[in-house]
Amino acid sequence: MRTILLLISLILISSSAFADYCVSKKGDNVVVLYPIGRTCEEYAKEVGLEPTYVSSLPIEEKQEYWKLNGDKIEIDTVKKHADLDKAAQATAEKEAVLLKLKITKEELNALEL
Amino acid sequence: MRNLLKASILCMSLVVISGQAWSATTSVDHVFTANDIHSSTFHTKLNRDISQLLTGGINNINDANIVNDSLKEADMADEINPRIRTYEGASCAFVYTGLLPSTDSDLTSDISAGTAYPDGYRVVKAAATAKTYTASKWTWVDLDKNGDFQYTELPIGSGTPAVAAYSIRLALVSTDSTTVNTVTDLRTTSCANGPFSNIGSATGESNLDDMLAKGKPIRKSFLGGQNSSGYSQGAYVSWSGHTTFTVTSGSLYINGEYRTASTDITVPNSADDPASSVSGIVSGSIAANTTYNVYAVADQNAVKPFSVSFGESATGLTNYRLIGQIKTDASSLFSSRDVLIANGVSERELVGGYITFNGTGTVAVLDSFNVSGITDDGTGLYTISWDNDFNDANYSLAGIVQRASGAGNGGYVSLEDSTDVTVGAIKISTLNNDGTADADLRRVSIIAIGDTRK
Repeated sequence: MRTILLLISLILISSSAFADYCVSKKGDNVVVLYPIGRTCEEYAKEVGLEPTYVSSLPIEEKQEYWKLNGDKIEIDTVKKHADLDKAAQATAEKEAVLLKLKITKEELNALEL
Repeated sequence: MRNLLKASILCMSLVVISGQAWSATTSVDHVFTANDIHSSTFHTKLNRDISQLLTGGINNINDANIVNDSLKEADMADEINPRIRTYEGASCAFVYTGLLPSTDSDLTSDISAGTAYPDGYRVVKAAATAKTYTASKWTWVDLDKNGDFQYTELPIGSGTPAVAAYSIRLALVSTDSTTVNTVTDLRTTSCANGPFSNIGSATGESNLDDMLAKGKPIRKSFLGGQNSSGYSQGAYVSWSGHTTFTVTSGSLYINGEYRTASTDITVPNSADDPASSVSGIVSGSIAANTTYNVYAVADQNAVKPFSVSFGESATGLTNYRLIGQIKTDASSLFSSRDVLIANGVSERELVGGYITFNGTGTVAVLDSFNVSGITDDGTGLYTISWDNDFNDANYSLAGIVQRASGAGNGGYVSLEDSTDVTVGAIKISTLNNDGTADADLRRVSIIAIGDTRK
């Protein structure tokens, strides 16, 4: 059992150390660094960032919702929901205007305003 | 009595001959015994002893009995006395030591003692050799395989004559009316310096001179013309300031002359003096809004570097080749733009960097040059960092994008802010065709061209 755990640990360590990307905090955002012909540490140093190795990227979520917590990327649900609410509100406002104008969305697009 | 007399005369003759020819200790005493007037084995003993005398003499031969340099390597070459002494580094025809003429205050000077391998034969000149040269001539000095110096006299300024038969070239000696005033060392002193000696080894094939003399400039269409300008390496025209420009170090074939500048040449806008290797403008003063041809010049004799002259024409130049063009602006200052090189391509004319990547999901860089990395700053936002920075942030950028297959209508790549281009990086955004929001696209290509001169 201990051997298996050791093996798994080694695999995880090696995959982090030799990953072809790393992430870093840049302002409020999380950015992904892809070095070419050098290590991620070297590239991060070149662009003035602090590298963090993560095992994977949550590419199914918008990068703007990523939040770095230690060596893990989490999703900032508050920001995501706020954005979704904002988008839903915009859609609702748009539909309300269309309702007042008594035209459909397709009719509005056809006007090419 | 007659027999005794004959025997005595023969005996005396043999003693005299043997004593003169060989200093080795030999004796004919046993040919005759005391009181032996006639020996029945006389002829047998005589033949045997003469044979012994000859063999003994040759085996005891002393080199002191041979006049110096009376036997040459060409007479002696065999397996025991090889012509090529590889332990002395000989693997080509070369001068091992010495054999260089000297200048002198009159027309007679010494060629120093030394060792050489003309035509593969080892020749040793144990002492210096005096030579009286003809006044006001160029004399090429060769050494042949028999150890004899060969001299070829020609008028000053003549072309280089062929090396004498079975010889190695040593020097060019120049005289004025009364003195040996210049000696140009033409010795090949190391086979390691002659890797091209194999060129032309086959009859009828091009020799090294052919290969160096027949090269064409890169820009044959509008700089350098259609004619052969010969070999060139380096010697690029480069803008370096408003009142001077630079021609980088390099080697050039210039109208039959071989010249090398080991350091960059700074060319001022003052007058040139090609006979003294002074660089500058060929005539007059520098003018505004003018395109000047830049020439490498080999008009000073017996010097290694070339000088640089520039002008609208090659006025006053004899041995020259066009190596580029440089322009002046309205203030008669050299312009950093539009410097052309006849025998090369400047960094400004080459792509400074490029990258193609797939921006969807985990970014995949498909190909790149001079890019140290790409940073995914967010959806459709990227920073591309150049490995070697540009010299300024005014370089040109071009880009193209491709949306996901079947998505239609393409997209855009753009700079969002004037500060998004620096000497070391660019920040770009990619958008779908509607342009409403940044988006990750399947293929993004960026090319940058500008000033990357180092």
